[in-house]
Amino acid sequence: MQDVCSDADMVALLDAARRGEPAAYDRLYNLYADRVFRYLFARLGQRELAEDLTADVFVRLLKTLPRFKVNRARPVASFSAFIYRVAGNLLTDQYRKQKHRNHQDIDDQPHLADQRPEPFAQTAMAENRGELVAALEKLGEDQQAVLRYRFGDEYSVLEVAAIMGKSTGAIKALQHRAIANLRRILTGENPQ
Amino acid sequence: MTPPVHPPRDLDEALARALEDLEAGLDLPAILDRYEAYAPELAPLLETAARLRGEPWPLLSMSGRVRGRERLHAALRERQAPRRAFPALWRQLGAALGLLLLAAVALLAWPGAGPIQTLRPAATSIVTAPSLTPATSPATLPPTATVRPTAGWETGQPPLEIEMEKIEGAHGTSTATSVGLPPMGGPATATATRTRTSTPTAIPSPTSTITPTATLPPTNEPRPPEPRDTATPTATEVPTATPVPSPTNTPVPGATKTGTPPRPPATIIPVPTETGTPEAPSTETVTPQPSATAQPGETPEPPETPEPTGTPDGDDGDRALAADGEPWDSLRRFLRTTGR
Repeated sequence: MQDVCSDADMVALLDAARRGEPAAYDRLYNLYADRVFRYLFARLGQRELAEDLTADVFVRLLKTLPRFKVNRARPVASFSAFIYRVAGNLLTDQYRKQKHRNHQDIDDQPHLADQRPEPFAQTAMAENRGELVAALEKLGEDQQAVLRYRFGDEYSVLEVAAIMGKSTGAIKALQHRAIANLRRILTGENPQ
Repeated sequence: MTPPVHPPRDLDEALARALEDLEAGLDLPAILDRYEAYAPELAPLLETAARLRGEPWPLLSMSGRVRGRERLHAALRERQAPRRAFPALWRQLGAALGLLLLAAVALLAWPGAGPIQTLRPAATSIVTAPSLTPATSPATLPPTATVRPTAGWETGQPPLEIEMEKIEGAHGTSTATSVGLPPMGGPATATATRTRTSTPTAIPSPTSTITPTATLPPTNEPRPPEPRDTATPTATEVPTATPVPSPTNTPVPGATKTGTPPRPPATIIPVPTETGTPEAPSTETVTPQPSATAQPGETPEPPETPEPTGTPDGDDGDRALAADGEPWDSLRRFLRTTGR
């Protein structure tokens, strides 16, 4: 169960964090560290790298938080969206670094290609999380994301809508399609 | 279980509400009872959702959690440290600027320490000499004629003094002048005693101006006398003009006594006298300056706007000296007055 923070608590927490109070950052870290890690781990497939980048997200948050304008109507949802944007920017930077490295992608070398499943699926199996996560890996990006946010991070529909930048109606429909497709994959049917 | 107040509009809405009930802790049969109309479609979806909820989602490792928290706190400390040091830096800068401003104001407000005066050459001065022997009326030769520096003297220096030591000779042709130069600008202070050997034709007129331009080398080595005094009497006017040396009057060696130069120059080379060795060699040149005037019997006043003197024009000064009428007569009257 995730640490829960109400909207009123979030406003006070962000004000304290802007004042540089370490306790406020501790609370934000407790609230979002695992969520950010899961977001990064799902996309990177490397635990250590995802952990390092998770720490980078919070360090960068120190610089970016003074510029963040909280939505007073939905403080938690707006801050959740904000911290995922920070994580997304770091992820983009990481992809750019990997792209600029002078190396050949192993996928371009068929004879060297690993025949095992995708990294995330490997990790999921290594962590004994079974076929469910492996099936999740086969979904589209938005469907994966909405299920992770809704069930892994325990965000509400409203928060997921804020994070993903969609309406609540769109999130409801998306989660419906995602769950239905996941079930089809689990039962051996072809996903729609 | 009571059904919801507003029935869901579609399956998406029913699933969303059923998931919220699932998160709230309701079991599957109770939830399906609430949404009876969508129960057949909802049942497999809620089963899958319940599986997802019970799945152990990846978490940060303990080491990664501690490492991340330490990095966060370190960054927080690093970010707060410059913020505390920043005002202190500004305070120091402000104090330094204030001191600088005070120093500048004090420098500008100091009397006579303006930037214009300090830029002038310190060893150049215009000295207005008093009338020694006016051509028209005999005057009492003051034992000590004080001439005031007009330009280039540094603040606080005493005035230049020209001491009239002796005037002797059959025709009163020799004027021994001792000039005491106060220390000027450079490291070698020049207190030089100069002996001026002049000819009868070199009697200063009331409008003559002596402008010593002293360039003081930093060395203290005494400079040997140079036989450059070419002031000679005119043969036709003073056939027997012979300078009589006085105790402080050292004739310049090599001074030509015969011949008629077209314009007797009044360049005076300082000569070390027997009264002491000059502390610093000087290449002072006393040149008559026709621009300044000194009235007879008056203490010459320095000009209001001291101008830095460049190369003195000795020719004009010589002409001013030679223009006096009958200098010998004036000298004789002067000697008669002084009883010599």
